[in-house]
Amino acid sequence: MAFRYYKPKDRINKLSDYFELLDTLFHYERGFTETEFLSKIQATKGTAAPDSAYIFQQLLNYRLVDESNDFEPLYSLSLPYREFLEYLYQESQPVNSAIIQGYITTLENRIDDLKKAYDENSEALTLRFLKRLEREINNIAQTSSRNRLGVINEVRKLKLNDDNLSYKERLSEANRLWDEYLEPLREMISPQGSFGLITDRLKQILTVGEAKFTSQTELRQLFKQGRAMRIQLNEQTRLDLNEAQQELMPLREKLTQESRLMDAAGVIFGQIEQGKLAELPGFPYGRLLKRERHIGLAGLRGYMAELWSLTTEPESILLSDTAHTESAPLETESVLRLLNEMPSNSNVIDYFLEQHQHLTANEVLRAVSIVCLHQQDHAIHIRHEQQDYQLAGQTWRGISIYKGEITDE
Amino acid sequence: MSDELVTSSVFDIPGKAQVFQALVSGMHLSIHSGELFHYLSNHADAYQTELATLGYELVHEFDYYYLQPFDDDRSNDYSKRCLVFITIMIESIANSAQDIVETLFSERGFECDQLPHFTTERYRNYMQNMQGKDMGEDRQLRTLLNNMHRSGFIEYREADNFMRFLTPSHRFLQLSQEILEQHTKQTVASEAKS
Repeated sequence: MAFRYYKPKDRINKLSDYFELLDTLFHYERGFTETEFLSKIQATKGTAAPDSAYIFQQLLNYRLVDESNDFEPLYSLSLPYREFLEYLYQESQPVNSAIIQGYITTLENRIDDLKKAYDENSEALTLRFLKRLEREINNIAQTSSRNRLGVINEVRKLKLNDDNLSYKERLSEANRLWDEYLEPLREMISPQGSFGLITDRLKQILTVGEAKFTSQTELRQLFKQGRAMRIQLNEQTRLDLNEAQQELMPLREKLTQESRLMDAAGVIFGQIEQGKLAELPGFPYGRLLKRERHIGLAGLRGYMAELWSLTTEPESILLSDTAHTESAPLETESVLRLLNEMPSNSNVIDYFLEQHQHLTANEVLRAVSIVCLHQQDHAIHIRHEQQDYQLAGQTWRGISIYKGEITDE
Repeated sequence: MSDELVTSSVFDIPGKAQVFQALVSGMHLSIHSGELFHYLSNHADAYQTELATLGYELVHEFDYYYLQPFDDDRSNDYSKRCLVFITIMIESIANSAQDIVETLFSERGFECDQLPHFTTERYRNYMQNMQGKDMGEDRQLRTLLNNMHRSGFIEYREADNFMRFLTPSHRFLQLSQEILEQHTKQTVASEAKS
């Protein structure tokens, strides 16, 4: 395609004429095939507008649209207009470190140019190169700021997750942002990085130039400005990087943590599927805690209930999920009845087991709790030594608890 | 009258009977536990000392308390059931592309009849595996929710068809991270052997 020059105003007008169409293209980064593009033109053009094929060619001529090199070419919004619209929409994209590296290379060239101008003692060339240098510094500053906004924008999208990405996709996207944009930038900006080194060189060349052309007022002024801009650029790039990092880091950490939770879920489900349920760890509490402690503690500290002013029966947690037995044999009323009925000097637990042969450990424990609560009304005594009980085929070691005048001796 | 004025001896910690009962029954006391949490957090040192004499360690994590017996790390099936219940929630939330932890602990909570635990065959199998007994799905879920409510892991209002996770449930998130770490170590060790 032959290169045509169009005045900036004409190009802006063309963008304005086809804004709706180009805006669609802006939001569809992949680009359209020719057929798709022509149909989009047809759908958006006015009734008095020229033929779709003519509009298509115009957009190519004005370089508002780029054609890809694919076998079936795709047409997308050309980069300068994309960046312009991003700027207007405040939807900056992060800037790849290669682009920043490009700016740094240009900066190196400007420094070399200045050095040559110094060697030639040319005030005119020095002035010219200093002005170009200023422009490059501004470009880098803008790019750095755009990069910060770009990362923040990407993080915002990831947080909103309008694209319904899975946690893994989001984590991979957050890692990509980090690896592609922030990590190289961080290295670059570090004192030993390419950016750190170039700003050192810049400082030297400006100091040398200022000393060399000290009698030339305009140049002296420009050197001062250049030095100030260099310091400002250093600060700004660091600030931009820090802000972008602060935005991305918490999200990345959160996604990493959540990704670990999902990996853990995979392990847990895997264990269940392999029938290794018993190997899953858990923690002790609830009824187990009560069971172990009620027997043990009651034995060790016979009057724990009194000490703690225990006044009501503790609620049980249904570990076995046998639905809460409405007809549990040893509820308060029946325990008290058994206490009344049992002969003096009897072991309470043995008596309960004789009366109800299929008691579970939990039912016994619950009954013992009730007995402890009412011990003063029934002359209950607890001996220090423990004894074995048979519950549902298992041997349980617990306190010796008696009704009557039995003493520890 | 302030709590301090009422406290006359180390055996006289305010709210002792209720707090003890709650803790011993396996309850986790968090800010949602109302006055029990208030008693405990205002006299945490006194409680800690006295519970230690009875063989319990009062553990304080995030914004909740619970009891742990000294030298006893045996687990029970109930905690495994809770773990699987929460793990299913985690996977289900992740599959819906939402933030896992934020959604899990959201104050908006969940409608109990919309919980994912019996919506797919796989989840149903996990739940039945945990159960070990033939029990209706609805009853199984309600029993578990009731128990988790009593333990202070969730707020559950059956009449409102509402449940939400409370901060003590973080224990299960920690537990699952430990399981993952253990699994990773085992995998590394077995790969090194082979």
